[in-house]
Amino acid sequence: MEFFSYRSFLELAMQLSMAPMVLGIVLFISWIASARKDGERRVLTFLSKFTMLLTAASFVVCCTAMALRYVEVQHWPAQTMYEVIPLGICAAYLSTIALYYVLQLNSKRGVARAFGDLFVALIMLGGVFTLQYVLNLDPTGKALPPALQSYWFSTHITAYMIGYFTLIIAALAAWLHLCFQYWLQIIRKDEKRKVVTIGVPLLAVIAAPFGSMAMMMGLGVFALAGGVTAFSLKRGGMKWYKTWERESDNFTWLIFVVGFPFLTSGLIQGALWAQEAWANYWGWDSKEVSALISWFFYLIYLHLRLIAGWRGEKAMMLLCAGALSIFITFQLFGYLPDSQKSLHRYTDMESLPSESMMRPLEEN
Amino acid sequence: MQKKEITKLANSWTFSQATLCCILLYLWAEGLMAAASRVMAGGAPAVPSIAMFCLMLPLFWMLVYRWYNVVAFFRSVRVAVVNMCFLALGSMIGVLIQQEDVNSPTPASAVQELVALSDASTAGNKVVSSAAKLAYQQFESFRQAETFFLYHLCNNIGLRSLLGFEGSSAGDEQQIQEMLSNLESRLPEIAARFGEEKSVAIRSQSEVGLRTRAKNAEIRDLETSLNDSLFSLFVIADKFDLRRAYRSDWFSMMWALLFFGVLASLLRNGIPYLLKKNKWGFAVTHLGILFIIVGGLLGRSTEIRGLVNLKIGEYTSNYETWQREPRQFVYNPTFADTDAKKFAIKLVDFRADQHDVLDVIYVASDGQGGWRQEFDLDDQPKLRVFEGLKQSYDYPIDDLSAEPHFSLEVLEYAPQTSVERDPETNATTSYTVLSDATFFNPASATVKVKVTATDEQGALIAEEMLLHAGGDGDGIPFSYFGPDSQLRIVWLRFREDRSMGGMPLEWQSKLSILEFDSDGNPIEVSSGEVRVNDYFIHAGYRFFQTNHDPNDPTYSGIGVVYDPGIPFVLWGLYCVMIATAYIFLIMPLTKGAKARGAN
Repeated sequence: MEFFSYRSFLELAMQLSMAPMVLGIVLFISWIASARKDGERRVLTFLSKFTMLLTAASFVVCCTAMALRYVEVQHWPAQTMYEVIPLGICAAYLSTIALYYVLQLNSKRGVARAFGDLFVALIMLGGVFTLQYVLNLDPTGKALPPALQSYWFSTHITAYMIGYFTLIIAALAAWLHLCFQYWLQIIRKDEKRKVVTIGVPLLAVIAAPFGSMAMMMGLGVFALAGGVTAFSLKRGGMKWYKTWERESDNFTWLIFVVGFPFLTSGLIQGALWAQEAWANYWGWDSKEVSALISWFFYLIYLHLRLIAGWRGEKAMMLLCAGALSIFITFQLFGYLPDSQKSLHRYTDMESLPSESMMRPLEEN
Repeated sequence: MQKKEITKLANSWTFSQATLCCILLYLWAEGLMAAASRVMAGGAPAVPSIAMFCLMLPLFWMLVYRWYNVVAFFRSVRVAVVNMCFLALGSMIGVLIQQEDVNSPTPASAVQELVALSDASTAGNKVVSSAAKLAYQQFESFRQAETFFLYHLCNNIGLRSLLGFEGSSAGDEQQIQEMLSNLESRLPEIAARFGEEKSVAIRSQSEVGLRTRAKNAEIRDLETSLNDSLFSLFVIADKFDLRRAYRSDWFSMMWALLFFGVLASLLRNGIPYLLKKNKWGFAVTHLGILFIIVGGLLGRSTEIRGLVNLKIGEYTSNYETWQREPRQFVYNPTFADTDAKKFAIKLVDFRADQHDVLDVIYVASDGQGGWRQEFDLDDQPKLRVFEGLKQSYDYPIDDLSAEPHFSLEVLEYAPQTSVERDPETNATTSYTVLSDATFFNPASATVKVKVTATDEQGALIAEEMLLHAGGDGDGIPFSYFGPDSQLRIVWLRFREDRSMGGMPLEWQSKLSILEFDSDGNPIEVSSGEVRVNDYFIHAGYRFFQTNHDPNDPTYSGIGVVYDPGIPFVLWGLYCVMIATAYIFLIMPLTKGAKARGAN
């Protein structure tokens, strides 16, 4: 295989993504293991900043892969899942880098960096698993049908990818906080809030059937948070979590603020494109409707937060529900009953097994 | 009533009150429209008229005597949120219940006829109407879609046993693994010959294909076993408009509530408030939503959609709507009478341009003096051609990173050319680019390919060749020596690919609009070209490329849309998109604030 090919750069991106993931996890464990000690701990702080450098390197490699794919297929690489998902990974890494500075994770001092390191490590973990999944998909490059030969093809899908993956990151941040809150209530016997004690396990169970990634990020993170909380409490308390407990609502809101305009833009560009392609800005196609449902989730979150004053766990639960809706729209849409006649089934693989290659050798 | 008191009333709404009130309003809309449709049907029916009057009465009473409650209702954010939740729920119903085809609606009472037919005791020897046959076809599609969803839902959760299936996955897992194992044993050879991507593609397609086949077999069984339950669901979905959720009155009512809610929110502090610089984003976003809803309503009441079937040189004033009603092109069709001015549309030219592909087929002797494909691949590797394309083949099987034994590079690619051929061999010897040819010129492409391969001694040899895609395309056999000095024979063929799902690379029609003088002679008043993603507008009609016939290159299907609501919707969409970006991205960046709404 040529080195300068999409596939080899995807593999490289996956391997490189492991570095900030592993480093983030190691740093997080180091932070909480040394939580009792006071002081800045410069080595850990330096390494913590280094994770972002590695994330940036993964982002550059991923972008290079996309550029190489552009050359290979001669169009914006967003037609099959083999192309769209890495585009989303690029968007996720870009969002992570942008959010790192927007959320001022770079300027946190001492043990307050722990949560940020865990957060970045989990995003990179998601990136590694997703890229691993992509490498097993059908890599055949396909020609664009006439309907996809439009300038909207690149902007619509890219805006959606940035919106989707940023809002999924927002949900991950919210989910981490909710899980820690749950375990603190259980282990430390804090004041019980129904939205946490009932809502969190319920959401973990609801997410479980949505595939291995949802299982890992749902039940996996839930269990991880339990272990970390128990370990931290034993090792001197949840000092590292204090800042985030206070700021998490604002933190998730700011991530939402970055993602929501892109989600809106993706939805509207889709309508503008449909208008140009079929003179029909809205055909009530099931993909369009699924995307609209996700948009409604976030619109409800926005109004409840801005006008009805919803803050904290209640609002964060909505962010998690929104991410589930995005996941259904993006990955599970093909199973929905009304999607069978959808015009958006370009990305589905109509795969046929290679019969003649699967017979025993002696029959040939 | 003071503004403050209205605000107080608006804030007093609770979520449960808002939910109850919204549900009542949706039911009210259903009842009102049901009564109205009966009254509109004619015959001055007394009961529906009285019902309609009774349903309208509370509305008027509220508007006259309790207008401030109405304003407060729409001003309440809880009402707005509840209504948005219902809009999302209504949309979910639309996604979870397969929707009726707008262009082929279920005829009235056809489902009841089906119900009667399904009841063996009353069915007897009744003649089945065409409406019932259509309804049954729709039920079959509904049953298939719902079973597909239900099957995958249970399968993914691991609740296959609920559906009566044994084992953890569909099909004979042992047999699937055996077949995949056979395939895996051949993949190294495929990877060595065609590259790793080809082997990954075959592996992936084969596993997905095998599992899909096994799943489809189970889905067919499930369809049979769930037939009765799904028929009941189909009947209920039809009765309560769940199969036409987006066109139902309850769904329209949700949009109506959204419209008035947004309007009330927009005007709650008066127009001057909206003119403040920090309120521009809010004002434009909400105004955009209003535009979209108004445009949608306008479109719903006046929209015409249809198709014109034309052959090159033909013109017509007639078209057929998607509901198969004949129509004529008239100016301002919403208010047109029988004397309205007509126009015609003429297909001046049409062409569907196909993909140009290069096949790379390895051949071997079949032992009987003939040739056969060396690999039993169901889908031979083919390359979509573009200038600069490079592809390599035949790596040593144990070292895929080594130098390939055969590679090709497209040096020149000209999409429209004329060629000269050797009279003896018929090989393409030279070509001329038709640089001033329009899209409608059907001349085929020519490609100049550089082939580099190894000879018997392992030395690299290079050869350049011209291939023309006209007719069945040019094919050239080429031989070289692969790893271990084995002779390889490759058949290179350049052609227009008409097999990609029948979908061409590009299709365009050249149209002209004709009016008629007093003698009935056509006069061209306008002209334009249409392609997918690029329509042509005349007098509010939008013409766009819809159809073609691979067997008739002179035929073009032109879609027709007349929808005066489109400009409103487009304005609305741009307003919402730009204002959202302004509020959430530009404003915080320019003001240096992290974000609005942050604590």
